[in-house]
Amino acid sequence: MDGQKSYFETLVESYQNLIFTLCYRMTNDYFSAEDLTQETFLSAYQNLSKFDRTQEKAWLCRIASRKCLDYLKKAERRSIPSGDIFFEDLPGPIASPEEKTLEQEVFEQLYQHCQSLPDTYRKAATDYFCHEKEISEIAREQKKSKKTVQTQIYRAKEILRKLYKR
Amino acid sequence: MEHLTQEELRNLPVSPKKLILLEHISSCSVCSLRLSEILSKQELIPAPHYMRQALLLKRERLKQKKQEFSRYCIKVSVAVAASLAAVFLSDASLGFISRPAALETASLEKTLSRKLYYGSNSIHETILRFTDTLLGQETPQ
Repeated sequence: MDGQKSYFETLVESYQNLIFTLCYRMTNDYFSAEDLTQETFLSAYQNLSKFDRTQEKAWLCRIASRKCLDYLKKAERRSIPSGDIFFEDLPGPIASPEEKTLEQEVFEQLYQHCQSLPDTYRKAATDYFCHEKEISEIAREQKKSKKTVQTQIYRAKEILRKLYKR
Repeated sequence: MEHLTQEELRNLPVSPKKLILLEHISSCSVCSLRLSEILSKQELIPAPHYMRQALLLKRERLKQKKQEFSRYCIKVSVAVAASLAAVFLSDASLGFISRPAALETASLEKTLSRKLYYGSNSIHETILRFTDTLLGQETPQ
């Protein structure tokens, strides 16, 4: 199992960007892509003993495709929540006429959504999701407890999920 | 279904047949390999910086749940085996005693297996008396 443990970590490190890109391109939703990527790797972990360790990319892509398919089918049946004043007042993401790389587009959209958050969550969310700071670092800078920052990030994430689904 | 074309794989995110194409890719090694190669050549979006840590944490929780479930199964199996052993061993020892001895102590009668023995014996004798009665009624004298 220890051999499989390090192999699993190798898989994650080697292919997390590939799988995340696939999931993002299928869903156009940053946090759904994150969830689907995690589900893909956890499913891979549970089936590692049955895997012959050849064509890792193809295997992971197959799992990710299945996860994306299930997500998209569910999304078709899901109704978008309405009546929330906070979301109705927010402007949509601004389309830029300049050509941008996909990575730039993704992070600009994420940054814009973070800036739309209520004051309580904005700084912590921007630092965590956009500037890739650790929770301990944010807690130190803002002179708050780690638990407080964790809660703020958790709540910010829930709001961001809804923003992406608009 | 035949394998997907290069164009179908490249335009997958915006294709109106996305669901159908994904269905195929999720079950076809050839097309999923080709898709992964196309994506690898294009620009990759970096996964969130906390993804790896979150995954390792979830993997540990999964492992713990499996271990807890295995421990629970072992406990239940041992308990069932011990119960069965207690019942059969006590029944086996009872087989050497055809009738309760006059000098049998009251404490032995308290055990569940003894109670079961007496209970099943009394049911057996009742059934025997009933069938004897039935036979006596049916058989003309």
